[in-house]
Amino acid sequence: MKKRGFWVNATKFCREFISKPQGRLGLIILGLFIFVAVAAPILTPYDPIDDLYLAEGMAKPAWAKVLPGNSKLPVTVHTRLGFNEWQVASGEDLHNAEEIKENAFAIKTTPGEFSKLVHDVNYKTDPPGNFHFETRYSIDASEETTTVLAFVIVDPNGKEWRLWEKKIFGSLKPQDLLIDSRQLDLKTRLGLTIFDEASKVIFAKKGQYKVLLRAYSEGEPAIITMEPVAVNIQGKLHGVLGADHMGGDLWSQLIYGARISLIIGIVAALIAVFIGTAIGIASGYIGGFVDEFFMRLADVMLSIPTMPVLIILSSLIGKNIWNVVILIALFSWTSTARIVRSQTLTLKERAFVEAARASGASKTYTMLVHILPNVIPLVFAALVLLIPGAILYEATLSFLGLGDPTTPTWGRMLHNARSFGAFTMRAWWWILPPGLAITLLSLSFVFIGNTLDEILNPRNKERA
Amino acid sequence: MSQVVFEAKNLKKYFYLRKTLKDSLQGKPTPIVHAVDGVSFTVNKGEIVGVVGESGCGKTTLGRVLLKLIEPTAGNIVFEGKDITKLTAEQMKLYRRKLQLVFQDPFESMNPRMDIYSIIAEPLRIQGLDKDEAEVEAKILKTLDEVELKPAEEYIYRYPHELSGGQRQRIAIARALVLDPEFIVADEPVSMLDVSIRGEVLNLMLRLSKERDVSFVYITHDLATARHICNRIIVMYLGETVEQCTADELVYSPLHPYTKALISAVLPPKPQEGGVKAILEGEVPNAANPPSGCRLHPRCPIAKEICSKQSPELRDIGNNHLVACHFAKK
Ligand SMILES: Nc1ncnc2c1ncn2[C@@H]1O[C@H](COP(=O)(O)OP(=O)(O)OP(=O)(O)O)[C@@H](O)[C@H]1O
Ligand SMILES: [Mg+2]
Repeated sequence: MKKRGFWVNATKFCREFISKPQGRLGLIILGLFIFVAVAAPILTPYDPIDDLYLAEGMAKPAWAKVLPGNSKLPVTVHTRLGFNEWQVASGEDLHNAEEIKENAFAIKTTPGEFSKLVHDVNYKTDPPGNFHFETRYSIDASEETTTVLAFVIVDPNGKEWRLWEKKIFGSLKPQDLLIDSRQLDLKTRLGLTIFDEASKVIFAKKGQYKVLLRAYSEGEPAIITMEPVAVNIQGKLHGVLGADHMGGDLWSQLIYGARISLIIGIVAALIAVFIGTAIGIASGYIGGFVDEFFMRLADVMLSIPTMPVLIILSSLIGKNIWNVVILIALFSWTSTARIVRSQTLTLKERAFVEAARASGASKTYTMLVHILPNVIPLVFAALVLLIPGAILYEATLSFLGLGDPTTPTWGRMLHNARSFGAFTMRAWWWILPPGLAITLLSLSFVFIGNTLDEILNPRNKERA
Repeated sequence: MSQVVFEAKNLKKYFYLRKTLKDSLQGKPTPIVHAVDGVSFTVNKGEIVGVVGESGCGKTTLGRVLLKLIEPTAGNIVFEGKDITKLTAEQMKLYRRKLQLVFQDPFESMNPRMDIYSIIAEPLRIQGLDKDEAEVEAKILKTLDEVELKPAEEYIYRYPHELSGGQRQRIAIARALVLDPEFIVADEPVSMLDVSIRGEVLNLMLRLSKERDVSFVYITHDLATARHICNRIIVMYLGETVEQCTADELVYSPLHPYTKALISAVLPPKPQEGGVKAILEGEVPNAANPPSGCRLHPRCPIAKEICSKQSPELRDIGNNHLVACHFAKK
């Protein structure tokens, strides 16, 4: 019963909002971005900052394969070979070792016999840039047992490339195994010079390749436990949007960028609106010196060219994302302060404020109970309209290289694109998406803000 | 009946307007609006005192000064024998329980975002009398009952815009009453209401003054309603009192030409005055630049030379009938 009036107003407001095409479109676009931001970990398996060398630098998107001249380009392979992926070639004794890690596996050797695990790979394109295998393994065997472990690639002609081999006496605590085509000892073992590219030599043929994991022990049986082997063959075609200069995934950068942009935009606008509302109400209600001081301050802030000052300040105070947010907020409160102040000036003259004073209300009480709730709708519209500005400021700073390099923002994507030759390579899949995303997200807030303003601003409407 | 509750002594309120740059360069003096210029009266317990005058004569300003919502430029306000003119906001807070206000526009006077319950409870909350919510609710229901909004339960969770003008004005009165005040300034409380509801609201005030001994200052430009409920009436013209006496005496034997004009505007002319309406000519002069001498003289039908030179004293011509005119005689 008590909340009736509120719900009636809220539903009326929502219906009015939805009835405006601009508001509807803005909500749809914003909804899309919010979904992307929230579902980012589902939409992409990669971390936008930490996962580097997923593909060759500047790799094209996977779908570029259908474009002329790209059909033979190597596709990035990014997979894990665990219990489910290996086939037993000899030795039989393969176990699930889930207790260590999901999909991990263990082999028990028979002394004097080879145990072999195989995984088939059909490779029909040009040789890749690099390859990289990574896992963690341990051996459980008696003191007298000697085990030999080897990692081998067999090419379509049946030639064996022994990438890695190790002889172990007794047991071995869990440790990392890392095979990279750029390693020197790998090249030496394969009989290559340091200038040869191992991947080019090994994957020179097209056809059925085999990845082979081979174990041999003497003495008593040894148990070899291994986490799923992370296989990464860096191709020239990768993912939805290709890769950046470091082989980082552009699609995940775009997706995580939505998160950052939304957070930055909303937080900066919130801070700005908070400051603006407080100053606006105080100026309007208290008046006199307070008003004079804040309004002159606002004039000064307005007359300062924001972007150059932001550039200088952000390069002085350090590249932290929150510094940038606070800086943007400090330069964006003036418009809100003015709107709120003028609204406060008219509210102040309304009789209900005088009625409260006649009952002995203090200034603070009046400002909080009578002025604030009546400026909130306006403030809300101002908030939404400030967000695109904040997003654009941040994007600009990042584009100029003044953003936080550890934060995946759209501005940073564009900055990298410019610095590392995406423009000369015409890698439009790198440049266009962040640009469009910035535009669309800002536009959605402008649409929503305009609609809110249309509905909530008393200028556009008589008594509510 | 004759216990004095409230006294205004020679109250003045001047507004100092801003000079334009041109005026200050030409060395012109700051324009001053003499909104209230030396008004004195007393209000007895349970009495309704009317303040009548044309628009712009300073009635609202007087009402706000009386309640110290704006500081008087000069003069004193005495409430229950204590001079409250110089009290700070902090010290005033306790007195505000006893001094209340009802506004002209019942829509403007309520926060559109508050329901009726919160609106009426607000004075209690501000005064820190809301410790016991059940008590607050009982008090609100009782007050709503008092202003004849029945059944009260049906109204308390509505919003002002869901009520009619008459209902809103009752709510405004309820808000003024909830602190059990001794003295209420009602600034044109019925001028925005339908004629049909006016009588009800005025009768409500009348009943409150009789039954609860609440004193009112009833501000209006409508002499007819003032005569209906007031014990005494003060007629104001450009910030000054021109005549002050009991309601009946004012209507039946007005002495000041301005009062006569006001009365003839609302009542049929009396045969002994030749059946002609006494009508004032011209416009109300600018309050920032009032005429010299008697402020009425440019518009007065009986003005003589002395009127433009000398400002008439407000004198008692017997039986507590005060009038400010050089030619007033019993
Ligand atoms: N805050 C203010 N600043 C300057 N002048 C003011 C202010 N308030 C009132 N005045 C002036 O004082 C004079 C008296 O105004 P006031 O509102 O008291 O008149 P009123 O008798 O209530 O008129 P109405 O019947 O129209 O309500 C007017 O000339 C008005 O312009
Ligand atoms: Mg008025």
